[in-house]
Amino acid sequence: MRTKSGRGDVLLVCMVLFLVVFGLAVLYSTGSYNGSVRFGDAFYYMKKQFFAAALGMLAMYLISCMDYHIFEKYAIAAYLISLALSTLVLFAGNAYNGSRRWLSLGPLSFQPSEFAKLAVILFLARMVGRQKKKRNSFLNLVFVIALVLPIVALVGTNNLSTAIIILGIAVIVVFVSDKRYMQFVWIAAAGAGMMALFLGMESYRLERIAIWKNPEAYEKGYQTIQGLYAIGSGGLFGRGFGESIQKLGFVPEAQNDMIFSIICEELGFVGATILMLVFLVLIWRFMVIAVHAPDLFGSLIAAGAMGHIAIQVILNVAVVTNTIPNTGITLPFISYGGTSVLFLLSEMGLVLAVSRWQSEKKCI
Amino acid sequence: MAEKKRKKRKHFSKLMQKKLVGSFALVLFVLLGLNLRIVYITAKNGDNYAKQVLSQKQYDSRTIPYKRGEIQDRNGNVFAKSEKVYNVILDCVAVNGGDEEEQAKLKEQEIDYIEPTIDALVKTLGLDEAELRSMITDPSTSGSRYQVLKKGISLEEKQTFEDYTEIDSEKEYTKTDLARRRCVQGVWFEEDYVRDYPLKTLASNVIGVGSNSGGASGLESYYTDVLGGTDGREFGYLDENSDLQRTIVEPTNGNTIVSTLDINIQQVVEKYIAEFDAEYGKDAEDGKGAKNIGVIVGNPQNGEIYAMASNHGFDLTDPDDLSDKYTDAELKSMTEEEKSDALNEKWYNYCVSESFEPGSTFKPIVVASALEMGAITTDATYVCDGGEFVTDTEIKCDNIYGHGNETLSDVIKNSCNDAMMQIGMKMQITPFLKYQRLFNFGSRTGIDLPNESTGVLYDRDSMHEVELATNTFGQTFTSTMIQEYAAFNAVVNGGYYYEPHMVKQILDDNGGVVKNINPVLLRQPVSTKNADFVLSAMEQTVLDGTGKKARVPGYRVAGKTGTAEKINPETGTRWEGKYLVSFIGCAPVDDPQLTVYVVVDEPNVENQETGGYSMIISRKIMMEVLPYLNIPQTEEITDELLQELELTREDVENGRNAALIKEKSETTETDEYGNVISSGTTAETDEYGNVISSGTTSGSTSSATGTTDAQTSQTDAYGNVNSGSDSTTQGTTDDEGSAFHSNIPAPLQSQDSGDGVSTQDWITNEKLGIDENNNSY
Repeated sequence: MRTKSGRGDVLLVCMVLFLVVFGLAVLYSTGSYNGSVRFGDAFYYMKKQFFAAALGMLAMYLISCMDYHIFEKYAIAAYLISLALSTLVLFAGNAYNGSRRWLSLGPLSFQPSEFAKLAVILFLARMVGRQKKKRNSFLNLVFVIALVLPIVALVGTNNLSTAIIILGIAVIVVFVSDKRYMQFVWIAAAGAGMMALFLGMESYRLERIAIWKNPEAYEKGYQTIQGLYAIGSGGLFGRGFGESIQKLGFVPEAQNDMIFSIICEELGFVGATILMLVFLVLIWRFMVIAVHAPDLFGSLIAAGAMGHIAIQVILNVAVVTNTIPNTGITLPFISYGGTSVLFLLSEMGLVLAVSRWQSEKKCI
Repeated sequence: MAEKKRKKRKHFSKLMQKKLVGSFALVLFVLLGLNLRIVYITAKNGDNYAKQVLSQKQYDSRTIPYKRGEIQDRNGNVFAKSEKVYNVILDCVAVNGGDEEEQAKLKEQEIDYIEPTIDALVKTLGLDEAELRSMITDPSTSGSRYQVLKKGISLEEKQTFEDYTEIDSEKEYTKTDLARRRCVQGVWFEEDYVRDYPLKTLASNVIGVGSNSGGASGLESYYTDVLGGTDGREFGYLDENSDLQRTIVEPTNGNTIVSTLDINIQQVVEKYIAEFDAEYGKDAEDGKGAKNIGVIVGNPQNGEIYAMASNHGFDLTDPDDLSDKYTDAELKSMTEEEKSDALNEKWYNYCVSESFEPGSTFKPIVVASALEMGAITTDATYVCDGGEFVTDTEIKCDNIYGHGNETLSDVIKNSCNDAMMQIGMKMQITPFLKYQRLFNFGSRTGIDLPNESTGVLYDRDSMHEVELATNTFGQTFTSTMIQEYAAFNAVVNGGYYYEPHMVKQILDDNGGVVKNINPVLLRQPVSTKNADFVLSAMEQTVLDGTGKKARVPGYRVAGKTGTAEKINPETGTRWEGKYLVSFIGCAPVDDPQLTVYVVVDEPNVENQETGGYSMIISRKIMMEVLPYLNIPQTEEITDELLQELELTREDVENGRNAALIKEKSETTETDEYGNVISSGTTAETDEYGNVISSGTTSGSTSSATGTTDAQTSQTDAYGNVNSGSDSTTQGTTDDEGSAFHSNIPAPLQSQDSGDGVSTQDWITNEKLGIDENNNSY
């Protein structure tokens, strides 16, 4: 019933490779100006990203060759490590643009919150996969969510966006593994209530909403409106690769969260749509792998990865198009961020490892 | 144990699968929605946003222009430079008081920026009040942060405005004055550069037309990448805390080129060209003494050009002015293309872009080549019987009675066509063509100037005996002045062909040396021994042959004259009475340091071929330039010589004195030479007149050889012959190079004009694959 096919999901590998290469090209185009102005090197961002991507590809390959069940043993340990690192970064982290998010190890810097995402996926897959009887009870559901709350709280103190993603991954994993629907309506309602409370507590978050409604009227809406200018001026086919004007200092940090707007400007609606389709295919493969996985642990890893990528892509595109208020979420594989790329590729390796252990019975 | 564990594991239930698929469907719909959102943004505001992007490009991120490099002469005198000026920019939003909120605040405090700002701009910069007001208030511009009010104001003007508006904390102002100064808002100055040519017309054909951003002709065009730099940029960006950061990327200024030109020599050359124009252009419509005059002066030992000029210079500070050639009505009716053609014609550099039949100045090169390949020896003698039958065509020598027995040296001295044809036949066609190419005829010399022509040669298939014969005395093929000049240098410097060049050094912004451009020795087409023989034959030419008018008192000069009868472009046949007279010479003979090549194309006189105009111009130039180059006099100056040249000892001294003055005040003598004729040498201008009217040259005879006194005794006879010539040899003349021969066909480039020539197998430009005037601009 269970076979080791020996070959990972080829389509998934293709999509990931496309995203990495495309991401490096777009990052070069977008970051060359900022790189040359701030660091005197047009390749500054691209070089660092390339290094991380190369390391990530190696990690992806190695992990995909392993039996993923090994990770079940270390899931809890990984979760604890991520808790420790996230605590450490609060005290010993390096601040960049006002947020302490980085841990330095010599010349390398490391963002623990990126590792936390992967650790949470493994941890939840392990916890939910091992539960037997209590799986259907509401209490159990609360228990699982409660398990990840410490990391959400730790990460959320200085990186709200990543905390939301972690929480989102948890909800997705629990949602697919649970038999009921109604509870999730409650969770959604509770989430919305908490969000409102949370926003009300700090006025700057409310301001974000005001900016969202009318970005042109606020100075802090600058990034948003510049992103919209970029998207709007791209038209159907864009200005052409490398021809963006908005990346020349107008869209702040264009190589980070706002990179999708530059893709729209340079490659137009067509280019942006193709990129979104690639992400959609990726998410579809996760779903297929989850369904075909030989056991619940494997299925939940794939489902967690699916939730991760889906949430990040949706939130990023939604922010850039000013569909939701601005919050800093990066576009997977494309935005600048070495730690992010390294762990995303490791995560892909994990899913590929699952895909090698396909159960033949089911098919979609 | 592993088995056990596996059994424990659960699989995805159907419900889970459904939920998973449901989640995927949700993701699909959300992504679709976001995609539609992009469509909505693009469709609704796309055009508007695109405009915003373009407009803020100017405002938020401004360009800092680079400074284009200078063009200097060999001693650092400046031909062209870029000067800093300012553009006045108005930020209409700031003048209006910022956004609505800020405007309301100002209104409360009864502060108005508009009136004081307009007032300051009108008073200090003389701008139009009504225009300013409409710019500030009109909805189409009132939201703009970047409106150019005035371009290119000087630092002083900027200072006037700043004195009127700035608030200096050290000074005390009255209350109303301070209030007024505070209310001038939204005006700032943007740096820019304009191109300036302090010497205006000097070397205009060579320096060329340019702006701070690029060049259109001459060195400005050829070296535009070297002179140009990279714009800098100042731009603002918001960091994650929405703080505006400003970063400046400094511009990279262009490099300066140090040319091989020497402004003093250039001024001497242009002085004598202007003098000739003044003397013979009095009654001409365009005031020119000849259709074209071209002069190249340089060092034969390394290819450096000291001066290059034509009589079609123009004011580099006003290069677009066509009013001297066209009426206002004509200018208005011209299309852009016609205007551009007219400007290109105006900026044309005769010395490198025009190709013509070089005439007898080509003979020394043929003789040197024939010696080199061993076709002839230096002790050979020739018999000139006044002409030669080549196949069934008779080609006459200048002296239709023949020069009689001649040594090889005499052949050059007498400029004997008959003997040249005999030499050509000994050389044979293929080697002849090879040597033409070795001296770079038919291909560009590689001089660092744009739009160099190649001239047109025969090739092995198109050249037959007649063409070979006429080629030996510089007819029926074409060359440019720079080709002839460079080839001549190879003969006089011992056989070394140097690539002629205009630039010797490239300096960076701070005067540091970026690159030294060394002379390029392309090849040695002839041996030193053979070259030296031809050089001494050319000294004889000047001492006692056709080039006597080019003698320079006190110096040993070698040279060769040329008088080419031109082709009537309408008929394609030889054009009786229209001549291109030339002289190319060097000095001193024992170690040539200076070459002067003078071409006078259709001098505005009755008998163009007589008078030796080019020789006289050459002599005048050498008389000033040789002392200037500190070349010592070696020869005694005899009264006899001075009498023959119609010079006084004073004239000789004047040349030396002029050189001394120049050395003392190296740099700025522009004004002095602007007024050409007012300088001490005016006395010499009359000399042209004397030469023509003097009985010795017997200019009255229609086709006299002119040019040298020695030959004049024979000219009367030619006149008779000429009138009595029969139909086959009709039109024989006796110039020393290129007489009127109806049976010498037009050169290749004009073969399309038809007539008897068409039966010949002429090669065309297309066959050669040569674009004759590759005007790229």
